[in-house]
Amino acid sequence: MEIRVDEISKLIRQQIEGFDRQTDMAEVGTVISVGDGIARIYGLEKAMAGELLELPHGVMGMTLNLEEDNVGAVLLGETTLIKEGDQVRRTGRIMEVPAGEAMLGRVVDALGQPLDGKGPIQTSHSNPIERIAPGVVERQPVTEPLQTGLKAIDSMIPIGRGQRELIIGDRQTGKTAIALDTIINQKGAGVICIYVAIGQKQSTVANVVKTLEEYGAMDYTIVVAATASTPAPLQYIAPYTGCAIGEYFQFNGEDGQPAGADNKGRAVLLVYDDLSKHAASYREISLLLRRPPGREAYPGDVFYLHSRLLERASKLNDANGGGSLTALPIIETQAGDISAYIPTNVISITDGQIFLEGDLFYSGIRPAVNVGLSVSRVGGNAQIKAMKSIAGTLRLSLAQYREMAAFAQFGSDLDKATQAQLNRGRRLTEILKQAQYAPQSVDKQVILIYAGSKGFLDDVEVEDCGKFETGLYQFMDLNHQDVLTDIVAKGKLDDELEARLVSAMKAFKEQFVTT
Amino acid sequence: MKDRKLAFRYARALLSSVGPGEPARQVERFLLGVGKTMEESREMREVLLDPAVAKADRMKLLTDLAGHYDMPVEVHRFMDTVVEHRRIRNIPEMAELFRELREAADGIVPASVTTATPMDDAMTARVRLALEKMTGKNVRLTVLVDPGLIGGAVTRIGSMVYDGSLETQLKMLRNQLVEG
Repeated sequence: MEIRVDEISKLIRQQIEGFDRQTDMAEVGTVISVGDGIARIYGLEKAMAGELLELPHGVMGMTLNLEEDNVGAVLLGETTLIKEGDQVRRTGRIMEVPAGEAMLGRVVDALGQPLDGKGPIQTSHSNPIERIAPGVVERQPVTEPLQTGLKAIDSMIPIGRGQRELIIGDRQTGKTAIALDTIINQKGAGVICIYVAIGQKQSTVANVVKTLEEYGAMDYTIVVAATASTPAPLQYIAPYTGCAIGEYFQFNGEDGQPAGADNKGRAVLLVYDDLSKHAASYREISLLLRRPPGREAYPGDVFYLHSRLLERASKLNDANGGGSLTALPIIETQAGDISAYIPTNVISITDGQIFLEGDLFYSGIRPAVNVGLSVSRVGGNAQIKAMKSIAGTLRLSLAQYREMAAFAQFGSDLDKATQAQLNRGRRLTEILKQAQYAPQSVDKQVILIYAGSKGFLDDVEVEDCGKFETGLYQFMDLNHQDVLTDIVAKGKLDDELEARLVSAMKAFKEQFVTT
Repeated sequence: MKDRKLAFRYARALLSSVGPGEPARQVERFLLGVGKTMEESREMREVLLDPAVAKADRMKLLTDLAGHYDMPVEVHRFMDTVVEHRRIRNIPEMAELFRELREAADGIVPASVTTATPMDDAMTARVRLALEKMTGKNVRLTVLVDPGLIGGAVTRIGSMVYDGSLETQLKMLRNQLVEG
């Protein structure tokens, strides 16, 4: 096609002729001082809290402090371009980010702008980053499971859709790994995943994206990245951005229209990795704005900072589309100290926690979940019945095993019952181990844990447990597919199904022992 | 604009002790004069701000000045207080804020009009009239010239800016053409 220059000129002329000449009206203030990503602005008497401000060179700001004679604002963007005396305009808008289907598979920054070099993101929607959480009337109890694909978690610390489950532990104990496994396991489950990286290394985020791509998980995942090199204000808003994007999917059906009784909202999984760095960046902003420091120099409203974010996780009732937003916040502890300020805060906000321990991790128990300290306060209702019925005994056996193991270290003279319990415990611990990026479907989890807790493993060597597991899965897939599908279809282990499972297990054991 | 909070307290105290109306206007002119001299005259600054000069001498200079211009006794005492609290440096800001407070009390709003070429008196009067009609208050008009505007005018009342300059129009046109 040939494009003629005079045609372009004609188009431009039309636009110029159609240009509506109007007086530009705005409330304007002046920058008094600027530094460390914070600007103090004189004027703007009518500015709202959290309002978006427009500064020169395309820099945006957000008001945080409204004082008697000045406004304190955080700058989002290139702060070095702003100088004293610059004019600041009110926009009259509260901070918002673009949201929509087009964001799936993309990596964006805290303002919703693409970071992955795949071109601009075309969205029709935008959501305010701060939003009051859905009220009591709009919600319903958490009853649907969100399968992580991890045996140790799905059995003993189950997570439901709309729940907030904290993942807590020292550095290098596999916190992110659990979140990633969960995201990978959502393939085909119709759950939109959003991974928010706060204050992490760029290389770590790149690795996460690569891993998700490798396992085909990026198709239904959005990564919001505010890495360590981005200014504190952007790290501060990043989780709210992720939440605002997630709320789009929760509150809108697949047709992009608001969800309702006949237009189902989607299920969303949000991972905040991690909120300790988020609290630190908020502390930085607060101290620069001269708000009084409290415990560990965090400002007084650091609890509200996280509670208002995590309250937005919810399961909506059917009249509102039944969408859900599940939050998996991550907190990093120092030397296992969960009684520090931020960990205790977030523990008290969430509906339970998964506690990861370095000692377990290094002794080869991975995922390194400390079963004693981990709980899920609402997830039990979300478990399928089959899992629920066998998980109770699993928890109990493991608790007894830990107690016995501590005593057994002192002597070897043990009675038969104790030895049996120790044996059982050792094998249960063994089968709960799981490789990274290898999530397991719930039916297979059920048969394996059933085998463990009903004693089918008691005469298998501990070293052979892994072999037993893979063998069992293969055997069931080949010969007893019906049992697996029935567990999922029925949801519970009735007498008839249990009998079939036991006979299948026996058949496998005969074969396994002989090989 | 450096320390408005501090200057604001002094200005408010002085205004409430002097009282509104004509006396306040006289005090305002005197204070603005002192402030201007301080900013323009190096000698004045050196005497007033040099800690080596005895406090009593500086106090005397300022009160003498007030006496010379027949200022009410409140102004003398105000100068004493300012010197005593070592706030001589802030006098220009105090004068500025005193004017703002006095104007607010008298129902006058400050406004500025910036044009590309200087306006004649008739034009200025028309602008003033239009602004007074718009705000319903008396307007203290500052007229500024900025050739960078190319044409049109930028009016500022308080912190509201009405920008009808050609420069801004062209900028908006450019944005519209770029965004399509």
